[in-house]
Amino acid sequence: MRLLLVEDNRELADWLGKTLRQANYVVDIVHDGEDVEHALAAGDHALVILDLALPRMGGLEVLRMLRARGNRVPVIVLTANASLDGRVKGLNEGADDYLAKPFQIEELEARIRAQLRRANDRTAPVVSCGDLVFDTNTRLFSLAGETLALTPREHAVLEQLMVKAGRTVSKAALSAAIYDFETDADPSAIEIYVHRVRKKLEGSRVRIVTLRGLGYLLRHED
Amino acid sequence: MRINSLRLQLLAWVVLPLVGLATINLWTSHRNALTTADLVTDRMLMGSARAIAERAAVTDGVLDATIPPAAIEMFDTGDRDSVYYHVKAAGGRLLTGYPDLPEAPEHASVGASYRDHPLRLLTLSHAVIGAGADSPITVTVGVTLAGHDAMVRRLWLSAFTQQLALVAIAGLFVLLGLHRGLAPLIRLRDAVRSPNRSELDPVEVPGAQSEIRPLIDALNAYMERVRAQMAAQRRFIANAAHQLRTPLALLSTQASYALRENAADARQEALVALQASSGRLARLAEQLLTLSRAEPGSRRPRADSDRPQYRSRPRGGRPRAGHR
Repeated sequence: MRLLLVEDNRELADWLGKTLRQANYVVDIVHDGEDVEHALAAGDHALVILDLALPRMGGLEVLRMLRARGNRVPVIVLTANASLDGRVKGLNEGADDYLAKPFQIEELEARIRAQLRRANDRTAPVVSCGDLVFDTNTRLFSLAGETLALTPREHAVLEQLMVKAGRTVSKAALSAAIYDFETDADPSAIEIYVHRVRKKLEGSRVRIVTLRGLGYLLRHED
Repeated sequence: MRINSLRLQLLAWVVLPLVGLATINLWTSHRNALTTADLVTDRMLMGSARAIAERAAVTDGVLDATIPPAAIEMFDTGDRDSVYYHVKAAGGRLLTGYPDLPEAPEHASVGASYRDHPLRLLTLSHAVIGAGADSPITVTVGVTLAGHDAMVRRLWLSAFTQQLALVAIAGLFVLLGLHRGLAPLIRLRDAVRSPNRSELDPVEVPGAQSEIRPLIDALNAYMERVRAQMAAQRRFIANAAHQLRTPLALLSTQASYALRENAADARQEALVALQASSGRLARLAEQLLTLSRAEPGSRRPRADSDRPQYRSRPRGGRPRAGHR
């Protein structure tokens, strides 16, 4: 899952990014309200974490602009202002959730998971495809009860396919979901990651099917 | 003696001079009463002496004086006055009356004493036609002062009663006026005391006099200053709380990262960063403390007094105040 973190305090942004990457999220960081729209257009972000006190363009303004353009990406607002008025205003402008600083990272992660569940029309925290199970709380894959060891990229590929299980995911969409801005996106490398994941899924009934010219599809065979 | 009650003070200021004036007035009216009684008594004495003198006549070559009863009875005013008189011929021969009654100078009345009674005397000389060497006769009439004094008392008492009533009514009106005049002050007190005045909004006292208005205005101005100071303090505390929120979030994030990280060097890096953050946070707290000593109570104008700005980050960070 690729997240966009908008926070102007660089240090907090860096460490939040690191912590979220620990949990196998792909995280892009921008420090400025005006960069948000551009960043969202360039990447396929599943969720935005938005600080309200931003230079040049305030968080509420960013939110208003996104919603005005019909962007429905889930947004969790972060703010140092925990007043009722501030919270109501943020939610009214189209925020999906609201978290006041200082917060515990566990709470932020739980709220991210809740928003992603809702965005993907799920209610259970566990997603499965045959023997393959993805626990969104621990963010770990397991195959037939055994935890699957995956690199961050492999994890991102498999998570994307899992979330869209049963539907075709194009190479471009996969690429947009697994690369952050700091990496040179290399679409041909996707094939390598898919290949490695396939190897790790060997021996189970779960298959990654290649549809030439269309993309990939995760499914399990009976 | 100090009088602390405004009512008593004003009452004293109004009533005491009034009593002084009334005293002077009473003394004057006593004098007037005395003059009036003297005048009345003198007129009666003159009337009585004339009546006696008119009766003096020469009959058969002999000068004779009889006392008409009316001349004596006119003094019968119910005060048991005694009337003394004598009539003498020009040579000093007593025609009738009390021989040892003193005489008064011509055409004047005097106070005198006869048989241990003070009395008022009047002597009249009157020519009697045909009396020859015996003319003119002198008629002296004296009356004791019971009726005179009673008249003085009556005249004076009525004046005294009037003045007393005047002072009492004045005092009553002073009290009444004060009660009405002080009512706005009482309302002001109630308004300030009122339990539903938790906010320091201005006190409004309808009907307050122009003398009390400045007090109310001063009170309101004072409350406005207190309110402004309280608001400044509240703003300062809110700002300080905001200042601390982001660094605290950073600390907590770094701690969480270190706890979850398995790689020793990455964990080390997080712990070092955490230590640096906590040092900066301590310095920020120190700055806030210093600022708190200078800011909320300070009357000195500051360039940006209601929005303190501090740098929480050393590298190119913007101040974090002003969260909406």
